[in-house]
Amino acid sequence: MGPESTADREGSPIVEVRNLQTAFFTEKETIRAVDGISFDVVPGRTVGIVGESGSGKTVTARSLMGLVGRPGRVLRGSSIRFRHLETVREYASRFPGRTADLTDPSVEPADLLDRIDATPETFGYDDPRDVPVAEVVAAGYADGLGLADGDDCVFVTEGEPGEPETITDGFVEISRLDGEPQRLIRGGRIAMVFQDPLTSLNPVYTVGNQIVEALRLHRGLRGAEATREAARLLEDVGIPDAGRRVEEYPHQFSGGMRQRAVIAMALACQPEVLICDEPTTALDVTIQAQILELLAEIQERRDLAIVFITHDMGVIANVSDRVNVVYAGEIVESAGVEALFAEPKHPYTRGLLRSIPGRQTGDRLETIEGNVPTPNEPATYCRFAPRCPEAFEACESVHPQAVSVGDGDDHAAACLLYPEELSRTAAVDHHRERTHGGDG
Amino acid sequence: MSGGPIEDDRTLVERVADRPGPALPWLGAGLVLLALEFGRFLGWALSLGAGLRFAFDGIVAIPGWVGGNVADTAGSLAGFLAQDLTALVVLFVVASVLVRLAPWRIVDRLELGWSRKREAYAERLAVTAVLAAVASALAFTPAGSILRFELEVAAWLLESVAASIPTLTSPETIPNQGHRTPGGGWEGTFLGLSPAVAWAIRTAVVFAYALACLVWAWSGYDRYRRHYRQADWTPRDDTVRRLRNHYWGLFGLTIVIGFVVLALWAPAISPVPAEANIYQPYEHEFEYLGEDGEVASITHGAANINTRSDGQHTVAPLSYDQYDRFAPLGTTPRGQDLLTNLAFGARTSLIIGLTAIGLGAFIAVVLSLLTAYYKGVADVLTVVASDTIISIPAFLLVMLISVIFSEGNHPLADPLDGGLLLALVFAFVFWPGMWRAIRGPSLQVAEQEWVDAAKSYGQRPTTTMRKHMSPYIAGYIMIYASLLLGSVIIFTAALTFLGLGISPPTPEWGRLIDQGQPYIATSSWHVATISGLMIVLVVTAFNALGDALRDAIDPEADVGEGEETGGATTGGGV
Repeated sequence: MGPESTADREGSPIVEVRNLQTAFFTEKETIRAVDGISFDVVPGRTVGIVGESGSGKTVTARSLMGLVGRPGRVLRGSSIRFRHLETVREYASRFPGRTADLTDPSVEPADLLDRIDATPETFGYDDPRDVPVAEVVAAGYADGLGLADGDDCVFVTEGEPGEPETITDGFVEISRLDGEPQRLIRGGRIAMVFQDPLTSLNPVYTVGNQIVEALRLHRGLRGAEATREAARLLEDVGIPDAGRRVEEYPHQFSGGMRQRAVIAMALACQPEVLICDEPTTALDVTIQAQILELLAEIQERRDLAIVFITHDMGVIANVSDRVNVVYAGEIVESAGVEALFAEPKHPYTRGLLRSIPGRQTGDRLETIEGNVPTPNEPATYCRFAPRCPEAFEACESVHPQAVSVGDGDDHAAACLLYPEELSRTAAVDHHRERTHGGDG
Repeated sequence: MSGGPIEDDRTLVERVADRPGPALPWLGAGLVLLALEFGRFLGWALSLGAGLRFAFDGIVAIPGWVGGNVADTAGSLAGFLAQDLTALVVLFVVASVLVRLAPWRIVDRLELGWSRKREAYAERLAVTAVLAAVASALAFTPAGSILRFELEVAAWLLESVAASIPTLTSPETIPNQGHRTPGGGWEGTFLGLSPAVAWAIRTAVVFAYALACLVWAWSGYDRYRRHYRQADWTPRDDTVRRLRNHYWGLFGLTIVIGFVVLALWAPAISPVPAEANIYQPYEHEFEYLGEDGEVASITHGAANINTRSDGQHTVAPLSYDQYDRFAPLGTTPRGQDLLTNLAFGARTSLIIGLTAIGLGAFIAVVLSLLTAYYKGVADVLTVVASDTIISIPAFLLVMLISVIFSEGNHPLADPLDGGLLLALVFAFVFWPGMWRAIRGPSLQVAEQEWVDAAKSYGQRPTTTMRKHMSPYIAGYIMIYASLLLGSVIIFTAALTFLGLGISPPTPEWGRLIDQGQPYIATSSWHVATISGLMIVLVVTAFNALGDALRDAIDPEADVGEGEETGGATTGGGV
């Protein structure tokens, strides 16, 4: 179930999320909080992830940061690729034992398929020799290939891993990182802004102290120099009198200021990607607008790729270039922001848009009846069907696949009602066929 | 509070150098205080050095001990191998600690281009090799004995310096031991005053000096806060304010400070030297005016036989015995001075309490941070271990372990006549309780978003635990530790009362009660009564202090905010 399209990208994506599955294993049950999400993150652009509470947005963000703690874990077969040439080169030179060379002609696709218990049919080929190595890795089987001495996490697709300067293409598989390589990515390449600025700043340290901590880790700054840089960062995010403010404690900041400080902290190490997990939810509306404006400005200045997570359709319309609507751990609709708001295709998206409160009084606000279900096993049906006003029989037995809807191929929805041009039975067959034909 | 220029990134030293006005008198006063008691401070440092040396000798003895045990069962060759292996392991542990403490890394300069882990291990192994070379050089060549000799000479020199420097509160400066003269005056005492007055003056000077130290420390904090601190306000200010208004806690603090002063200045507060009166009574003589009007001399041991408070004879508090010795709290049933026993017994209790609680709290904090951060298997193992220890009655366990070690004549049972052993046993028995007490807060703080935030900007696990988690459990562990310190004192006294804990001659409060208990209904009632009251007072004080710390540290329990508003005026408590 790869993404239908990557047509909206002008630049190539810096992060590719493919078939991300994160599950929590409790004694009672297994909760598949994120169940096969795929999307791209492009420099200078914002990709929005929107959904109700419990739909798996935050777990998606935490999976990207490698912050999913016990009892949860990112499942085998998920792939989060960080395509950043500089990082790949740096990692290839620092962690040669964990670098896999995908250009190596001695790597036989058949061996790889064996190692991951897959058949060529999984990839739509008859002969194992036809399956390109890169495609096996790219399909999300990044773990356990055994291409490097240690746990492979850096993959070079073009160039000589032994000589980092010659590398021209490759990626770091974030979902497999741990230890030192993970710490370098966290904060240094991908940073996160948390939902509640009150709790994401440690109340016993001054704001400056916490920014300095990040500066020391990634940029080696110390002492007065680091404090000056911290003040400069605070000024950058629009905090007046920053020189004095660095010495103040989080409780001395107002909510909006605090969130600005958190953003300054995230920016301290000059990341390429910023993950914002509901950064405005804890703020009031005017402050919310200021923070969104600030993010947009920073994005423009630094060509930052932003993953913006929220439940607020109004906010998402404002900030994102592309929107993914998630429901029960799956992406049900994915489109450019205009297309999504102009022509929502999935019944769930339509329901969400109808339930935005307007200014007219009198009318009762529409809601979507019921709650997001907790997904416990792999989906064999449409998870939205029980709440869907347009559900029909087949929704209970066929798992919808993302199909192209609308004009361009950058608008996809996972719903048995589509493709629209087919009759209903033909459409259901189409989905059923793709479900059984494998994940490609 | 005026806090200097607003954009201030100078260090504290620079800030003080720029405006030395308030700091200089304070530093001067500190120097005066130091000079007055320099000999005593030097003495403390020397005892600390002796303790470190004991620890060092213990570690050095480990390989030989392991080797000997293996040699007994598996032959001498295996014994040598085991000894060398153990020595290398010990050196590796020491090397790891050294590498961690060193401000710079050797490997960073070499630029080997290895992975971090490999570099770190290579570095530790290299340091281990160097240490092994040094150790074998010391062990197998005369260099080792020369160095040892040099160190002993240095220690002896320092000791004699400490003894020769006049110290304000030493019994040499204000002597209270002397004898009557046939003419009716006193010979050998401070200014010819009576021993009671001389002793009272010395004790008063000790407490005045301790008070001056406290005032000095408080004024230092106050000056720092007012003149040199950059922040107008920190959470610590509130803690201090709440503590200042907590009268029950202040009562506890006062008693605890008194107890600590009694322990630290035990030689100054004792009317007779402990060495002469308790430890080596037959090797020290003193002079007194005999009944025949002649000045005679007698050993403490011989005199003590006649000064017992055993119901038949009694040397009551605030009286002289027949040898012109002043006993402020009377004598014990063995004829020794009770106050001397109490003061040195306080020392014993304090050392045991601090060692036991310090070690136990350290284990508890480290384990609670690890288990809260990593959860999973580490957590389960710790739960099992602590439950196992808790499931055995604490008193029984303490008795069991201490009897095994002291009957086996283990070297650990030597210092303080079993005191150190007791402290280690207490640490072992009490850490599970402390760990449980801080487990909840640790788990709570591990779930805080700022811990995730620290992870999200790439902070190392150990630093995250130390910097972002430990401050939140520091308060809890302090409260719990101060409460437990009381229990340790009671436990020690109870064990010694039963004749199991600390054997004589090391003074211990429990033994005083044990000795005095048969005479509680006689004229010698003071022995058990005073010792018992001291224990009650000190333990209550530690509990009060713990209580106060809890209220002071917890920002939600804001007691005594401004003027107490009384129960009826406010609806809900703050």
